[in-house]
Amino acid sequence: MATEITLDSLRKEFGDVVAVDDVDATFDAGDFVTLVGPSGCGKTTTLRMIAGLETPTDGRVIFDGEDVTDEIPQRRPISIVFQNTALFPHMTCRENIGYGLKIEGVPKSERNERVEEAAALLQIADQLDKMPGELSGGQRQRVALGAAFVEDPEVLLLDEPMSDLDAKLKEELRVEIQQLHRNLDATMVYVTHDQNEAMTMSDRIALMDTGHIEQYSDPETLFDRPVSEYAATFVGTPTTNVLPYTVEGDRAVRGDDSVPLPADVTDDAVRIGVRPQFLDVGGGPVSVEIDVDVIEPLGVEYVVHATERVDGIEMDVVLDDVSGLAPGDTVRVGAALDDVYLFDTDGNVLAYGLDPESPPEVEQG
Amino acid sequence: MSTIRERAPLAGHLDSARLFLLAALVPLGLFFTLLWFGPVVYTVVVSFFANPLGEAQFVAVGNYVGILLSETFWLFLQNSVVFAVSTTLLSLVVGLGFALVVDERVAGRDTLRTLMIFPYLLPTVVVVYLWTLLLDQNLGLVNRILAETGLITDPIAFFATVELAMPSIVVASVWKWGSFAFFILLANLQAIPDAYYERAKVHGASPYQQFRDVTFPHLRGAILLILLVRGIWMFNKFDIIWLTTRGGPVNVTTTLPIDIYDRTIRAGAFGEGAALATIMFLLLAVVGVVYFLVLTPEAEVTD
Repeated sequence: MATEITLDSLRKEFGDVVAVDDVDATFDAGDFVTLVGPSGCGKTTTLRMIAGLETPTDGRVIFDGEDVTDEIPQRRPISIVFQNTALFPHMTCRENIGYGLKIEGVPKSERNERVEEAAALLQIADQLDKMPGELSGGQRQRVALGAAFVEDPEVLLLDEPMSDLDAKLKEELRVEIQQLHRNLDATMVYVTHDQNEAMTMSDRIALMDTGHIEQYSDPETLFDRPVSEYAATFVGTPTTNVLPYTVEGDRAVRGDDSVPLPADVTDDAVRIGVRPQFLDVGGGPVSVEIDVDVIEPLGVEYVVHATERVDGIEMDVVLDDVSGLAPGDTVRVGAALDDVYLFDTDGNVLAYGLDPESPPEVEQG
Repeated sequence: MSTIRERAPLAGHLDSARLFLLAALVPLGLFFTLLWFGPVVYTVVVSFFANPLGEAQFVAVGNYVGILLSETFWLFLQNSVVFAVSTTLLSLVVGLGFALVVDERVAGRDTLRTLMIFPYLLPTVVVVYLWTLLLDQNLGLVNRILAETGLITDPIAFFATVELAMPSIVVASVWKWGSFAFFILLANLQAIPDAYYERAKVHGASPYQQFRDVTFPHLRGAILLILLVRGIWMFNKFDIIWLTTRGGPVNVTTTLPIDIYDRTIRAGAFGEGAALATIMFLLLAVVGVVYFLVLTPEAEVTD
């Protein structure tokens, strides 16, 4: 039975530092929710409060309508995969995976059966009688995963489980964790600083910034409709380009370039964000002249690192074809009016797209 | 060492590294030869003679046979084992108890930790005076408390009563040397990562199960070390016993070291004393070998 998790004005202070600042959110039963953000944003502290390993300074943690804020971890229907695995070094992998079942009092034969089932799923069946110290990092993380889900928890918490693994292993495990989620009837809360992991795995993403949730939405919405410059630049690789413009009448002006603005913009200055993928040589009306610095081939596409000419701001452009382009060249790139984000100078979104004909639509997450 | 290096002859060219090595090793070698290896060999040699300091007479294993056939040897061996085992185990239990308390974030833990070192720093003579005063038949605090609470009517002579002499020495010894176990165990406790306890908790482990499955396995190496080192020390202990009871009353606290002193210094039987010392040495050597073979203390918990 997956559990719905509600965070109600959840707050955690460490001395003078506010790690989690009155967070409100509901994680639907059975969802794969990712808490993502840079280090120090409070994502791990939030996870630890859901687990009961950290006591909130204020606010409540609610499982399926039941307040569990004061429950000890032992009494919550949860499992955790820790960043450093925390496998007991003196126990074999079999004992490590079966540990929770042993504590629950599951008889040995059934325990073994379930451990072996889990091990088969994670492709570590032949490692069961080794000690954790004899395994590679990826195998150890698989054992830790097995130890967490073999108990069939209602809530499975994962604290940056892949941060110490190399890229290829990450990809493999990413797929396995998603398969696991499909097989398990559990709400999964996954903490990571890697937006790529968040985007590829989650049903819903809670993007965190200095203790609060900046945006809580599905990955597509987070990508297409970021609520702020922070959200727009955190998600997507390479990062979203953001350029400052001054407002003159109904147009935003920057050097010799200008673009139309939606009618209700009254600010003196705005910022326009555009993802590197939406820029093209020549391109649309949101246009800017750049000096090409470095061209990185990525196989099917190229990332062009460049410097914009008016303010010297560094920009990235993703192109399918760079023939005729070389470092040192000056070239004009542009994006369609529909493909940019309009922010105020504080970074809050004002509009998605600049088409003066269509009214601005802003969704708050 | 998996690689085999060809050893250059020592008398070859003396570069500075080799000179340094030599300068460091020679004093150590001399020290061990003169003060350790020499006396050991001398003792073993002497143990085959009667009256070795006077008209030495070779008696082969005569001294050994005499000792092993005497009734007192087995009694004193038993006393030694009782003393060594009980003080070591009690030190371990007391040390572990205090270490677990101090490892928790309780108020006053720093004070407690500082207090724990004091008995260890006090000279044994001072500790003996302290405990003979505490347990004194006429002036002792313990007797007064027992009398005032009505538990006893006649004061007890702790160190002079057959049943209580050994327990009294054991208590004083644990008081003095218990902090050895305490400090080693505390250092090991503090090295256990919190994540292990957190994982155990999330799996539902009770405090006892956390101790059994996380704490104890991480202390295993330290506990075995304490058992060996403390056990050998206490088996060889002379001062605290001699200063409190001199082996009495009626030999109930006479351990092998006390007997060696008696035979050698008081009775002047150097050959017998040396033979008994050699027997003790062999006993400890056997214990040591068994310890390493059976308990594999080097199989430490590692991450």
